[in-house]
Amino acid sequence: MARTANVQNWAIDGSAAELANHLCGDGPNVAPAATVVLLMSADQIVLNVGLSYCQTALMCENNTTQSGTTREYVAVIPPACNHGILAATRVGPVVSDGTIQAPTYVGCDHGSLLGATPNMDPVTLASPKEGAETYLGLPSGKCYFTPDIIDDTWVAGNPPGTRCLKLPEDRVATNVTIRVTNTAGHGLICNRLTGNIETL
Amino acid sequence: MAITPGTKLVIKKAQEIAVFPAMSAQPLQNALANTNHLYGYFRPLLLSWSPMGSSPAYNPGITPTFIPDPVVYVVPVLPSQDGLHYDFMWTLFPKIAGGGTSRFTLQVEWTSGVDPTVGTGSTPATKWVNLYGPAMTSPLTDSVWNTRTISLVLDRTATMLRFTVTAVDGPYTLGHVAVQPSVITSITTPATYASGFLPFDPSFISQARAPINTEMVDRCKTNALSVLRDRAQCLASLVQPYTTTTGSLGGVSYYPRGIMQVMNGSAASANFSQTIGMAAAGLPAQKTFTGHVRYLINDTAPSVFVGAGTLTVTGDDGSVNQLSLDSTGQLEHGVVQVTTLGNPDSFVKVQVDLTAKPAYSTYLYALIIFWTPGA
Amino acid sequence: MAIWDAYAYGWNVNYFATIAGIDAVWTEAYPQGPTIPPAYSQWEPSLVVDNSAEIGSSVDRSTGMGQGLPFTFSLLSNPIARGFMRQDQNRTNLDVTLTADETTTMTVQSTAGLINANSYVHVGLECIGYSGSTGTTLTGLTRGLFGTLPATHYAGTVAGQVCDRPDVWRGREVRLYAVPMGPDGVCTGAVLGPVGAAGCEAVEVWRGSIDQGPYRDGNDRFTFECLALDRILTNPLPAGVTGTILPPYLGGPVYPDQWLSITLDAQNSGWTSIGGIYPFGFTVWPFAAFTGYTAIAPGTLMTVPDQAARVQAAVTAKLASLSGSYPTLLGVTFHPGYGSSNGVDYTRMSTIELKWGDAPDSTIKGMRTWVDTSWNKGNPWSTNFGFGNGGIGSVKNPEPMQISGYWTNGSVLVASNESNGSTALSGDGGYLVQLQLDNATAAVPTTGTLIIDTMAIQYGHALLQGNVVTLSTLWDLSQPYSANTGWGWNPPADVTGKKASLQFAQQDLAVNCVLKLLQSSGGTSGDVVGGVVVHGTNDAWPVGQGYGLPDQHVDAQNIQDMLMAKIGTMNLLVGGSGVSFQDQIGGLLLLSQTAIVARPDKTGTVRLGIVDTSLSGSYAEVTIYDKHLLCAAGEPITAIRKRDRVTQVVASLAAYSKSTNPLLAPVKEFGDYGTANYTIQMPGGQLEVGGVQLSANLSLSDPKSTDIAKIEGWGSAIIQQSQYVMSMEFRVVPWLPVQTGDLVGIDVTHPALWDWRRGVEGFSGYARCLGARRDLAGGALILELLIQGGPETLSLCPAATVTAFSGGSTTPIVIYCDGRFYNFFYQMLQANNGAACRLYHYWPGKGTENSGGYVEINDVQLVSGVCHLTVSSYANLTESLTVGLSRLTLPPTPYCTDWQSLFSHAEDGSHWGA
Repeated sequence: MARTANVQNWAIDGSAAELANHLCGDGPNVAPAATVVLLMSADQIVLNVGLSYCQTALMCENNTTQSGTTREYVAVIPPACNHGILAATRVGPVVSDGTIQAPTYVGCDHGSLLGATPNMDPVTLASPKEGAETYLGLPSGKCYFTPDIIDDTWVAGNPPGTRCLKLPEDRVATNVTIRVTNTAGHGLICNRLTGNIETL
Repeated sequence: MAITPGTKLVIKKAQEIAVFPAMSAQPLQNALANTNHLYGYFRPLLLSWSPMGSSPAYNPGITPTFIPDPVVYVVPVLPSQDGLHYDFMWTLFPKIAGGGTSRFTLQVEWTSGVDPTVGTGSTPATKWVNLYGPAMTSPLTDSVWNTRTISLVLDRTATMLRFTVTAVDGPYTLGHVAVQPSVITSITTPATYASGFLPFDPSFISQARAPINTEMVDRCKTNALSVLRDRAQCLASLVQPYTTTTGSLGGVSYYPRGIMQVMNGSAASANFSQTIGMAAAGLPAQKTFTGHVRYLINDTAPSVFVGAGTLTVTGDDGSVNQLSLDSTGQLEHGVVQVTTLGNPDSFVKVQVDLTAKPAYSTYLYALIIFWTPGA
Repeated sequence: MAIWDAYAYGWNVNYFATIAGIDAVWTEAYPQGPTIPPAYSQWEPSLVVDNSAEIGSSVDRSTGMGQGLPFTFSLLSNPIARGFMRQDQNRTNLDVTLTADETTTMTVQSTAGLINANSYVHVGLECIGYSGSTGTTLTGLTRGLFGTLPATHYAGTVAGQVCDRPDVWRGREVRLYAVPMGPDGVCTGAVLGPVGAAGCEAVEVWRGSIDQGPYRDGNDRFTFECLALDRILTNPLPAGVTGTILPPYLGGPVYPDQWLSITLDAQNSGWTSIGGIYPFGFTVWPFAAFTGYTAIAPGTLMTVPDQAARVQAAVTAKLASLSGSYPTLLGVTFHPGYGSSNGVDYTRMSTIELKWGDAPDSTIKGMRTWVDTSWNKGNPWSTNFGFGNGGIGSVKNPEPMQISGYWTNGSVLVASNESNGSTALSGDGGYLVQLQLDNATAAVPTTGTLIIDTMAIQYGHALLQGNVVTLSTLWDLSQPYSANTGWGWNPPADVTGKKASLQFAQQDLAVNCVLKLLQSSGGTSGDVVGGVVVHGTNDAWPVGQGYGLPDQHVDAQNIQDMLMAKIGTMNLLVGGSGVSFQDQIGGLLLLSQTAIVARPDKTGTVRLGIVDTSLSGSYAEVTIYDKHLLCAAGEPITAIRKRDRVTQVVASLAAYSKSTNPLLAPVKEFGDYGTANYTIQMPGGQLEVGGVQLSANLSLSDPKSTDIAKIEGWGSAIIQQSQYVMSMEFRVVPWLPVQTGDLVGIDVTHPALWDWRRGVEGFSGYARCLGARRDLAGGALILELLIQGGPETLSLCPAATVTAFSGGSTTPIVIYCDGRFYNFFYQMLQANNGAACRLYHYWPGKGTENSGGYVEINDVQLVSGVCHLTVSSYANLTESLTVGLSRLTLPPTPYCTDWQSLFSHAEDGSHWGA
């Protein structure tokens, strides 16, 4: 029996070319019942599909309004950025004296995501191979850390390399704190903060 | 008639769909109902940006200075073709001496043209059309992050949005602005949707001994794709105040805080480049990625500056694609394409560099990379 | 294999057999040409195989087990055969146990009559050669002659008899070989064996062991009935390590570095410390040397009273060595107890009773005491007590000072693993039971179950010394905790001398469990004697835990390769009483659509290996064509049956009950499902009519979600594949190299098979060989092939987009659609003899989709690539026809023509395909 590709790839990929072959076309491309032709298989039906979300990269720098010499940058993540079946990422602990730690990225089996409560249940897709696969390629229950993909370290007063920008001289900074707050409990943003730390 | 989408995807277990189910309305009907759900509840962020600098002349640690000038941001946009409602969420941090409440005036305008300096033409392509406000917010609580949400219909032809924030009572930080499709609890059934989505009503397929036909099976795919492609997602953003007053760059009396521009000294003999932004965006399980770039760059040189910047996108498999950015003062566009490993934790790195000619400065107003999967 | 090609060219096949331990190669005809295998000295053309049923193997997909077919052969009654069968033998007994690796000396009672020109003797099933002898010894031993394996033979047992002729036949390994033989009687090849040697063109056809015989049949032949190698796997494993109970006693091992620490704090009448030397503490090492006593050797077993006396002596000696006046320690007693603390059940709680004499002076009214020991993992014990000569309050001496504490590791006086690093009996106390083992074994797991009659006693520690194993921390799990008072299990008085056995559970990765189950015999793995690996590479478990199959019977590499990907990451807990390989592993095999079977492998030998029994696969080495079919009674292909439609697969966790094997605690449920059974079934649930349930018992020790996912996938695959499978029996020429488990290609035109896809007789596709057997007389090969049939799947109904129409949108006259629909609609009308056919109209996405109404079409034309449908009537077109958006599809079944109903409608009995 001819078997066409299963559905679990195209929902993520979404590339037009790949999808074109997945479902039968319209019209009588089969002869009447005397020669039966298999058209569809159960796993070609779109049954359990989640759509893809990307995680936005914010490039920004902001002066905040905290008192004293501590600045805080906060990106407040809007609610209901529903990552559904996909891994979400978060910014890890950051910043000590003048040093912005590069964010770390955590992909989690959602449901265990920083106490967030995604409003979508895990997705299970049929697989034509032995053993069902879940989560559209994301193994269930797996938490993992990717290595820091941003490798710059900032020190107050000494921004590295090419990130030097001209600033008015009356700005001061000693410590810079960066904190990301997820107010809605859903989804998060992977983030790289750029811009300048002002110097004394 | 309107169709009520399910509030959740109804997940079929593997054994319900893998084990030779009888040819019947189910599980097909479930699949089609799931596409209704996608239409109502797939709400990726169309825009997500944190501005470079907000309050002008504000110095933490030094007595805050309050200057109630409006701050304007011009941000490219790629709205749904179905004329959806969008939730606009503003996040602000007021900080006034002595505490108290703060109010802000917010305004959103849109245009379908490419020139942000248009005045008051007669069509959306030649003017800024008011979408919201200017309206004062309810009082915000001092020294905490406050969020205000407004739901607006975004015209499908909109190419740029203009956000204006004016502080009424005191200094503040604009932390973040997010725009995402609103929940649709009742899907209307016009003749067609521009996105290609076909709402599903089960009355035909669920009748006794109904025909199982190709269109219904195909619709599972086409609906899901339509929704996915129609709702562009903001992959990366870099937004700086347009100006604090209307007019060209040279007309301001001071630079807003946190603004980044690349300036080249008059004695220089060559162009000078700087990286002004770098970030990473997660693209789980996307082996190929195509990004639609919309940006606004201007510079103080008299003529258009081709190659005033570079956008570099790097996939986590090492593939690299660069887009040359032009400084024209108008909305420009381009496309970047890279590949990733296709893992759940795959990502792309994004980097923006600007170049300034000798004795001139180059300034980026906004750059957004939109992702429409599969397109 | 090339051998069977002999038939194709008009040649024959000469069969020959060997019986382990018998120095003869039994052949059918005198094998001119090749020399006999070097291990043997003679051959004898007296083998008769024609009367045997077909030999070969098959697998049972519902059990995962192979079933080798039995082999019956006879030997003509000629002098050589009679020579081996004669019963008058010279025999003697071993005086000294002959270990498997002994090659120097065999000591017997007397060698008189044993010595002969053969220079070998038979001990059990083994044949042992010798080069020298004395009156009571044979020396210069060559172990394992003629295909036997060196083994340990115990003196003083029936198995320790030494004979000059084979004494025991049952269980002897038999191998059947075949070699091509031309019409002139000359066999090919330079040597007849061993298989695989250079110049050997023989192959092994069958392997097993004698089950019955020899017995004389009516033709004056010696007949043997043999069972195949894989039949052993349905035999329950023996009980395990067996032995005789020696007298139990109460006590435990002691170690010189065990310490006891006492703090004495004399109190005045106000119950405050009187000060001075008080409080003071001291430590004694009761089992080390102290004044008047020598050290006890580490691990020495001491009874409880002896230990208590020793403690008292040590404390007394210590106090005597200190300056100052101290109360006299009159006695130490250990009391058993039981209970629990902090949510943890302790097997025993014990009390040290220290009985003190009078206070040393009158200012001391009472004493507070702390006692801490190296074997007390709880808090130090403390109490107050008064003295005989005037105590305070109600605490008076000689009331014994009861100091209680919780032993975390068992009862008192134990060798504490953690504090003194002992690796022997640990945390043990209470009664010790010693078992004199019947057979030597290399190791005994430290935890297990002692089975005596119907009692099942869990033990926490086992110490193997020689042939005696000492068990401690005994607990009768069939009794509640409270019944195991005192020192744990109290052995009944009559337990001494009883036969008992030890049972263990083994937990390991699935592939390891399979191999160890097959090969374990209690020996040391990889023992090599005379170049022969005596114990299999995976011989790791104690005697009775495995089948003891040597490497030559087990294709370990194949088993690893086949199973690693499927069940390799699962953890199994195996080892119950009276359970077989099938009981413990069969479930996993059948679920993963594999089976274990003894069959000739690629090297030409017959070994146990794993085969795939599923219908998956796309590469077949052999394809069966029409020319390969052999007729017998007219039919080369017979349908055996339409296989059972499995509609429900129930995977159950192994039901080891506590009463039979308390060590194997009930296994957890399957993850979230909270049950011991996990059911996969057809949608619609339950056992459909005509469907069967497949049960698989699994020995998973800790089912993980990935295991469950696999099980779910396997169950689904089985159900899906089994809906339409047929077993066909193909009778084919002998030279097709097909073995059980192979995927074969089929390309035949025989009408027994039908290709419904093409609507023609015959079949072209793949099939799985579930059984291959050979007719020894004629050579024909009979194959049982599993062929996937087809589902009843129908085409989907079309949904033609309306591209244009004439007339009104609710009153159409002609409707147009794409020309590719023309054939379809044409046939639709033809099949209805020109009468009008109904088509339903609907508008996808336009709201209520069932409001489109229908049209009746009575004519169709194809004009310039456009299909024209003439409308004869219409009804309920409340949703107007809309170009580009409306669709025409078939009606629901009640309104269909016969032809229209051939396409998919809900619940019409067809299935989404595979």
